Amino acid sequence: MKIIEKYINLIGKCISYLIPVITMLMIVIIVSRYFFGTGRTDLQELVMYFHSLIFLGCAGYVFNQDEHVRVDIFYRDAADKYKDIINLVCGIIFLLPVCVIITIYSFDLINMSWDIKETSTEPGGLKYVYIQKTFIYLFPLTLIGAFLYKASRILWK
Amino acid sequence: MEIIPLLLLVLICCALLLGYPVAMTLAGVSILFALICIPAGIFDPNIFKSIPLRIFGIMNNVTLLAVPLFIFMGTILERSGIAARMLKNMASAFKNIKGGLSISIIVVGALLAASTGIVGATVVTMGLMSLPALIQQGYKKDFSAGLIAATGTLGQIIPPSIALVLLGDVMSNAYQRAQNNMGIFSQKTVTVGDLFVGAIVPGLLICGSYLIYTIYQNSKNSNIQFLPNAELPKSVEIVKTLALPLILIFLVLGSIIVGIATPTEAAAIGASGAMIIALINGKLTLSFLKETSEKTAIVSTMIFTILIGASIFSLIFRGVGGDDLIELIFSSIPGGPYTALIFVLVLVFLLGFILDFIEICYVIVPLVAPPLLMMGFDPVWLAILLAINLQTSFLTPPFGFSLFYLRGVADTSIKTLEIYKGVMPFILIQLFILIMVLIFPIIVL
Repeated sequence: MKIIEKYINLIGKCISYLIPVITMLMIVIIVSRYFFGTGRTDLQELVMYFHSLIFLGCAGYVFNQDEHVRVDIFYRDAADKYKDIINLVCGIIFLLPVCVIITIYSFDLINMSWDIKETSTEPGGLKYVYIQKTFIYLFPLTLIGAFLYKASRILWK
Repeated sequence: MEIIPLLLLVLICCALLLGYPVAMTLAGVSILFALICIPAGIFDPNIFKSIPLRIFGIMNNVTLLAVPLFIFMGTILERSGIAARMLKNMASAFKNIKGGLSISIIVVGALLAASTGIVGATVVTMGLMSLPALIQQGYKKDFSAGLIAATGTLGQIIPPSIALVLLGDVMSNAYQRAQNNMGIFSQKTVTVGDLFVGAIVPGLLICGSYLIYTIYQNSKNSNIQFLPNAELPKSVEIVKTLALPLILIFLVLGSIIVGIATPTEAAAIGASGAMIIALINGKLTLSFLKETSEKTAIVSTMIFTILIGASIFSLIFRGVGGDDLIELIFSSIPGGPYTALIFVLVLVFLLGFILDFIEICYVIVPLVAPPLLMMGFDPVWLAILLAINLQTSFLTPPFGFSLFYLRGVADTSIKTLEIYKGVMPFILIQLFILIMVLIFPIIVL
């Protein structure tokens, strides 16, 4: 289980380093539009790929860091026992069904996209929409991994 | 049949109080509820197919790309210590004016808040940095606490705030929905830029009122000492830590207001400018870049996860007939559009005690905004009202977010009641401005 946590964190951290890259790419886009009059649809789409990769791929990492916002009026001062039960039970009844539903219902969409090797509808856009769509899987999968680790910590501590 | 969506709302409110992460609770309760409704024929499982489409929509929303970029800019300014030195230098620049520190806190707080836009971050930074200094210099404890808690919430309203970016995204969808429902074909749009422009005058009014109140308080207090042996910082230092961040923030704001850059482009300019300032200050090392990137990714992911959770909720809420419920509620409020508006403002104010800006933006506003817009209210005006209203809510005891954060970092010698007492005048200022904007929409438009 420890190894799952390690990899989820590693993925999260590596992806997060795309943020300065996004910033730089945006500057290139702005400069080429305002000073050279050329729109860079391909770069704009690449930025969106990176951006979506970040928040989908870091979901599990953020869960491991316990940085997802909670309504903590009661939770904040509650006993550890209560927190463990909430994290375990709500993980099973809330988090897991959400992840499973997202995975199942994304399957057709992503599969179809791969079949036709879906490309951007914008002129000059990128040809890898099917890869971007596949990023959706990262969200439920990293969350399930992070939850399993959390659950194992609660159950066998 | 309206009882079913109402039941979903009640269940979600109760479940949220358990303290499990909001995004998963919103989506989880909704999905369980939908699964139970399927056999009863109340919910069409095909609606689930829209979930990945909604996520894909969020993935390609260029306006929302401004969120991580603004967070990156704020994180760099905060983590590099530039924000802290900004405060220190401004206070010593004002050292010959009575109450210089308190005035600098408002000015820097407004700027800092504008760049981070997250209540907690600003209150914690300001609370740690300046609360002990304020008390040491003879300011009253309650006033000092109130000042910091209030200044921390300015980030909600002063552009370029992340709250306004999110609200702008939601408002533009709500406006479109309202016009669709009314059968208007030549549709008008509302953008994040419109909201930024609309927020300027109310934001300045709030800051100005804070300043006037602070100067009045200082004139009454004879215990305030001047900064002990503070040296006026060197001009190079002033340029590096004060002038450059100021230029950056005006550059970012200016380019949006003049209309040469979209908020997303301006955010990218802001983020790269912050990197350059950090470089000039000798802070831009590889480990610093790694640290700020990780922090940015965490905050940004936290926000987008809520967006995903909230969009799953709203799909299912509509799927079980939630629109009928909202329509029923609005049609049963007596007394016309303005009572409906007041009702919404009070509701949002109360919800602000338990929910953060992001959740209110993406869960509540999409439900209540279209009916209000259909009554003819202006979307920008409505958005600004909601923003000021929420900002006030975050400041109001006993549940205001800002107060919790301040309590967390404030010394135990400051009593909770003193914090409450200190924010009261600021709450009154907020309410006054809110009523002004309500009565004179011209302030926004």
